[in-house]
Amino acid sequence: MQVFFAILIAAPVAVGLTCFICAGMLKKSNDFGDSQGTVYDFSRGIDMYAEEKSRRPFSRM
Amino acid sequence: MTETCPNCAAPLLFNPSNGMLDCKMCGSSFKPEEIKGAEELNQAKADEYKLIGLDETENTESIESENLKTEAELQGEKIYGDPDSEENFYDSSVYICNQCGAEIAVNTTEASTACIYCGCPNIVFDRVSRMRKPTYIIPFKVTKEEAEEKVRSIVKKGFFIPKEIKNFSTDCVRGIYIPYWLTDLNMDLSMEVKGRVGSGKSSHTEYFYRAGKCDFHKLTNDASVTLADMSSAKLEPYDFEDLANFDKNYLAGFYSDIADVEKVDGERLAVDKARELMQEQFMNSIKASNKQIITQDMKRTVNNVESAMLPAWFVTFSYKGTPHTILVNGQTGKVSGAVPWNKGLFIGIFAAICAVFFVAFTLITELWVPAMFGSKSSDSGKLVAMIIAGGIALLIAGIRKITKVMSAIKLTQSQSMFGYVKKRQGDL
Repeated sequence: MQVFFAILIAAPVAVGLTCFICAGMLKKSNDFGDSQGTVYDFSRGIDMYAEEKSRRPFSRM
Repeated sequence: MTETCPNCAAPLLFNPSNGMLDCKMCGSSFKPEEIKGAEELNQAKADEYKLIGLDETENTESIESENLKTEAELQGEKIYGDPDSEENFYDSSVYICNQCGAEIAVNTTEASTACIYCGCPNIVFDRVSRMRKPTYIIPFKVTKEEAEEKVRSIVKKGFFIPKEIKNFSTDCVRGIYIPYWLTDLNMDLSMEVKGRVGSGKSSHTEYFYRAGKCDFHKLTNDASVTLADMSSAKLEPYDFEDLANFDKNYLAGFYSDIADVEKVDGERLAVDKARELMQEQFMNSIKASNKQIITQDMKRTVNNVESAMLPAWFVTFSYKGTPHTILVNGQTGKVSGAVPWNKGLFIGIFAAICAVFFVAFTLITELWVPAMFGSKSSDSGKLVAMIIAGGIALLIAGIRKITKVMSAIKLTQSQSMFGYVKKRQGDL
């Protein structure tokens, strides 16, 4: 029973972790160039205003 | 058409390593701006005739047609320039690929042997075409040999790359100028987002308001339908420090793709891109789950839309009968593309790592299970559920990553690009 539970818990973690690691290795090995697309430097000028509430509406709407 | 050497009349080709036009026949080198082509000389003569009044009729006609332009057209010209002006064109040879339908301008005397997009040898020289001059150009800085070497060195490092690909023999390496629209615009975006914050019983819906302004300077959008948008996006970023006014001498020895995305569409794509980039910034600033945009308000002003040609190398090789095309940024040398993997090796490594993890986790869990069953707390059950859920989440994340690599490989293979082109043309 103990062993059965141990396998039940260990199997998905082992498969999941291996899949994640191998996928990372595969991406690094076979996919060159990032897929992030356009890089835009927002530090040059985005002027952001932020407000958070548990209810609507907001003062600037 | 290519310029010829003033000393021996052989064709001049642009050399990316020194930024000069080189003559392979007599070894002379010239700065692109030093070479004044026959076209410019003819234009100068025509201007001379106009000055002495020999071309008065043409002048009168142009003034009359100018008066007939509507206010909207004149407003458009402020942004777009006069589209019909003779100064906005140059001559180039154009070929059409019989397989994928790509139209490529060849700015060299060298005859092309294969299509740069699909590798198909069935290309037909179609015509000498009047091409619209772009405003700017970034000249090639990376040479053909350097581009090929960069691809080779990056392919050799890949752990899962098959030996046949590591020692690939190049089918062709082509330098191509890709047309882009560069847009200057101001965007004012505000949006209201709802999302869940907290966990368990304290989880609740929170509303977020984000507003911001941003001035986008030279936002890029590729103006080629033939080249997949994902491929051109992967080639970026380009460094606009090297942006020069267009000079057709920079094209000597290279291909140039024909811009088939209209300026108006380029402007629309730039607005969409700017909005998406700002949205992404706003969403990243919100710490919540299940985020949903409720309302959105956008104001934008497009200040300028200009065309540019940006350089890229297309390195094509065959693997198992399928052509693969790796792209190299012709200015920065950034390599983009994906190649098939050695499936046997991948499965072997996967099985080995998985076996090690499985044995280790089983031993750890076996020691921990008695303690878990011994305690009557419900926290142990929750912990087990969380560990299993974590494993499944990692599995899903891994599968997604592998799927992305597979789509990138498909993009590198010509058949997908061919299908993409056909789809965009409405043939499928």
